[in-house]
Amino acid sequence: MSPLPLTDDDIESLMAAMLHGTVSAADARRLEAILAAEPARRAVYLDRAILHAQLAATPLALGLSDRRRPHAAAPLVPSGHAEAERPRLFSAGNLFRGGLALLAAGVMVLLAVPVRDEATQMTAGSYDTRQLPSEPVGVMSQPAVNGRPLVRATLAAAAQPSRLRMATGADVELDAPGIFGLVSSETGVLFAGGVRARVNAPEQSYSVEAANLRIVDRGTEFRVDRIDDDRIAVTVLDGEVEVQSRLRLPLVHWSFDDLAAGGQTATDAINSLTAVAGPAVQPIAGIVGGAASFDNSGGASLRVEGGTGDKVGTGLLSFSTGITIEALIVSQWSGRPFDYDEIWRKEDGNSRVLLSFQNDGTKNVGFSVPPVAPGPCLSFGMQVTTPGAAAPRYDELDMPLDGRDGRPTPAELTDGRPHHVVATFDSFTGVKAIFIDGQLRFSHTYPAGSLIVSGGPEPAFIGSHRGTENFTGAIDELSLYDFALTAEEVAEHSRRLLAGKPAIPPAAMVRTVAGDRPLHWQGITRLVEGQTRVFSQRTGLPVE
Amino acid sequence: MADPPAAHRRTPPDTEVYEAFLRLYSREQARIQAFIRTLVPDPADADDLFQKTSLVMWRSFATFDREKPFLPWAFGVARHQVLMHWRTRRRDRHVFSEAFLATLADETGERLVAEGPSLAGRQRALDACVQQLPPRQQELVRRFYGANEPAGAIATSWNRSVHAVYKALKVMRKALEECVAQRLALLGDEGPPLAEGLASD
Repeated sequence: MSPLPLTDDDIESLMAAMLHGTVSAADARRLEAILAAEPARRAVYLDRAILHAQLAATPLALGLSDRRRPHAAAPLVPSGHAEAERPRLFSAGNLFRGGLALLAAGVMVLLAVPVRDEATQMTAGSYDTRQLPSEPVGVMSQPAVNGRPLVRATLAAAAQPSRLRMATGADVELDAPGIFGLVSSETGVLFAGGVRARVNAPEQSYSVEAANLRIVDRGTEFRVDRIDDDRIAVTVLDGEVEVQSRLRLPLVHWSFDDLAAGGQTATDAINSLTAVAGPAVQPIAGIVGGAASFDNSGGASLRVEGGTGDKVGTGLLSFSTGITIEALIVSQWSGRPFDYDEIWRKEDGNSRVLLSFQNDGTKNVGFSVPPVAPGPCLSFGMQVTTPGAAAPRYDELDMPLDGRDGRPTPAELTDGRPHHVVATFDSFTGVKAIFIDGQLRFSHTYPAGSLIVSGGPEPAFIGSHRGTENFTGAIDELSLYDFALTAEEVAEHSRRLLAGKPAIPPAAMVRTVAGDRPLHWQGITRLVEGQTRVFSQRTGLPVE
Repeated sequence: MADPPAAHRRTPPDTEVYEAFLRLYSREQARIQAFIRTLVPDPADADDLFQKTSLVMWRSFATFDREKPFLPWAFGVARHQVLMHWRTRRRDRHVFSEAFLATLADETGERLVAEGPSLAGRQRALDACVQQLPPRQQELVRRFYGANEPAGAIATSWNRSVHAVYKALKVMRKALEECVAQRLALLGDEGPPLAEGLASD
């Protein structure tokens, strides 16, 4: 029997599915056959596609609070500028809204600089998509775009240097080609090329990071050049710098042993952040000491006191170039549609970071990167700004719990046994990954240089989203790191934790303390004017 | 900041070539971006491709015959980037065949060339018109076009059928078509119809 002919509505829905990227293979072939045979239909499809593109670019669709459209035309060369200061051509107006690149200077710099958006209030599904204000970290100090504010973003300079002045007063020049992350007014991250920084007053500070290395000025001017994927050259042009190596220890760690000892709070062992237990949280014996038990009710949550900042991008629990969320769980998640079980969630508008079990059908399918079929999943969500993007975007790595390609099923994760769950993101590789019991199970790769936009004034919750979406089961040995654990480290942690030992031996867990604050970096050497040394960003040690 | 060391100095670009490229690029960037977005609906992918296309255009500008129109050449560069993009995505996305995508790219280019500089004015009119939509239709713009939510998800949350959502989209597009036409007529910035097929909706 031949299939029934398609109605106009059927074709309309096929077009919409194609434009939304949700079309099936069979439907894509059907639509192509129709459009190829009928030029009039094809014209309608192009109309739809153009309209789709234009509507998606409206301020309303983009979530901007008004319909102001900055002038899109790039500035032409103004008269009177010095030859050495040939201005850059930036389509910054478009960047403000639509995600256009900055075109650029001298020869040309392609420079992606999202500028500050107004705060907006919108909701889509159950998600709060407010864009909280970001603090400008600096300005462009080039003639064509002098004074252009810069927020947390990744710059890509294609062919000529770009000059920036940070809010702290430091001057930074990025070589071209080069990729440089603006994390804060005091810190930048070198992903590719070279960068030169100078502080102009003793009270100023500026640091350049590269994975496990950090170069800290001590009243100086210095260069940092990436030689290859691992080697970094540091040259001091004036004064002195300190080269530091990252301490690969957690930023925060809750063992929950203090809950088991009868307390109402669990205290983080690194920065002493207190997590206050709700009435339905019960201490139980964990795999490693005590653990926290949750019964899925509204009182089953731990609210973290502290770690916040006054704006997005600030506070201890603000992550930028990397993150790891690690926990031992015994899950009794129902897996039912729209039953969410949170492990960790901090909700600063769209700048949220979460790790949770979800099964919300197609409700939030637009957040899944990569796209996955609806169904139960373990979701690792966070907001990321990719090089060239005009604004950060909230995405979820939704690992289907479908038993395929090494991924677990809900039954396997709720079998009553403890499981080691780890979610990581690394700006230097762009890899976002979920590991279960020491094995990589699902991942997605963003462009290298993508930065996390997170942190802010809202409290974090363990096992809950502000008293909802509560966990069912037990959580133990929860750690967050401000970098991505390697696959080898995850495997080692898993082996230790599932054997009842702490992920990191207690003797190695002690951070160096400066004053009353734990250090995240330790100095390995100092360099003075005229010196150049090469370091491995992987090991954080000199290589020559 | 002091002058960079000699090793880091760059040869100054040829001013004439630089300015020529900037003039042409500035004038046409909106249509180049529209071309890419039409063929690559995902906004993040489209923005990435626009960047790549801009770089490739600059790098190959020396091969461009400046006696000829810039836009068809630019669309040719963008077309290649779009087809490359879909070739690499074919493994994880259901898309049209490459031959058919090439046809669509050609027809999109023809359409946008015909559109002329009125495209930017039409976008401005659309910006204004969506603000005048009733709340329910504004929600459609935000969810269907902004958040890229499927019609089925919207239908579920509205407790309506998917058919009803498509019907609402059709009504909304009709309203926008009329609004855009009115604004362009009032502002004297009228171009060809935004979506000729809308008239049949």
